[in-house]
Amino acid sequence: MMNIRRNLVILSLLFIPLLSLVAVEDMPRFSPATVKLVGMINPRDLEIIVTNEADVELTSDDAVMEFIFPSQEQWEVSQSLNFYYSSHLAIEKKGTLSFQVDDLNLDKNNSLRISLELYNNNNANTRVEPSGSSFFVTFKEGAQNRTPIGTLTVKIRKNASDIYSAGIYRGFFSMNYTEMN
Amino acid sequence: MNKKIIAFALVLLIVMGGVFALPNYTPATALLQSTIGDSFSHGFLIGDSTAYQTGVTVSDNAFSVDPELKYGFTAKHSSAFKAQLSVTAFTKTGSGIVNIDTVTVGNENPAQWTDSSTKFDLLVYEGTDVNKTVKKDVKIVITPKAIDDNTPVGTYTATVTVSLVTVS
Repeated sequence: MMNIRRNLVILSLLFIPLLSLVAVEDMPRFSPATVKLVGMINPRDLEIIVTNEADVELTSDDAVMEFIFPSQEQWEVSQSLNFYYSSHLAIEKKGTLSFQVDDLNLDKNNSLRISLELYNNNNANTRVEPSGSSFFVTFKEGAQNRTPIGTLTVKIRKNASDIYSAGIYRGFFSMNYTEMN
Repeated sequence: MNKKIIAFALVLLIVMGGVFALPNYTPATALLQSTIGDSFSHGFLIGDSTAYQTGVTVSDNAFSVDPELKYGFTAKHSSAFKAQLSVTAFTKTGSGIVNIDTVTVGNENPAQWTDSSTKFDLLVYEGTDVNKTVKKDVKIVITPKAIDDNTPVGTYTATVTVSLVTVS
C-alpha cells in the first residue's frame, strides 16, 4: 500500500513538469495591453418621401400634379400621393404633416374647388386629424426605410350646373411638418 | 660544551621554530554572482507614436473605417512566449451589439471571430530569441460585422486585449 502511494507521488511529481512543458499558460508578471475601439451609429433625421400613383418619387422640382378635365357636364378627377418616411432615430418622434391647397384658378371669375382626402391605410402609426387635412404620425426609433405614412387624394369635381371657361387652371398645394416635443 | 646546555638550546630552537612557521590555512574565496534580469515592455503603437501605449481609446469611428492597430513588444526573456489578441464585440450602454467579423494579423488572411474568447496569435518570442533583446511589431485590422438596419443609434465600444502566454 505504501509503495503504491509513493509511486503515485513520484508519478505526479513527474507529471507536473511535463505538463508545464506542453501547456500554454499566462505570464502573470506582464499585464495585458488593452486598447478601446469606438464605433458610432449616427442618427439619420427624418426624410419625407412623396410618390405619385405610378410610385415615382417626387421632388420639389417635379412635384406637379396635372389634371385633364373631361369634356362632360359633370365629372370628378382625382390623383393620389403616397407619403413615406425614412429615418434612423435614437428615440421615436411625433409630428404633424399638414396639407393646404388653394383652389385652381384660371382667372378671378373661374376657380375650381379642390378637396383633400387623407387615409392612413390602416397604419397604426398614423392618425388622420379631425380637421381632415393633416396626419399625426409617430416616427418610430431605429432604422426606417420608406415606412408608409398614408395617402392623400386630391379631388376636383364639376357639377352639371357649374360653368367654367376653358383654359389652364393653376393652384398651389403645400405641405408642412410640425414636430411635437 | 655542557651536554645539558646543548640539549636545552635544541629544545628552544624547536619551540621557536614553531612560533615562526607559516600556518597551512585553506585560502578564503568569495563567489560573486549577479543576474541580468528579464526586460519587457509592450503595447499599441497608435498613430505615429513610437511609445507603447495601453489603456487608451482609439476614437475614430470603427464603423466607418476598419480600425488598424499596431502592436509591439521589446523583450529580453528567459523563456519563449507569444502575444495573443482577443477582442470583445462592440456594445452600447443599454442595448445594442455589433459583433466582430474578422481579425487580420499582418499579411495573413482574415481570421474569423467567434466570440470574445477567440484568440489570435500576434507575435512569438521564439526559443532562439531567449535571453536576447528582441523588438517586434505587427499590424492588426479589426473588421466589425456590417451594421444591421435595426442596430440602435449610439456609441459603441469594444476592448482589444493582448495577453502573453508561455510556449514550450
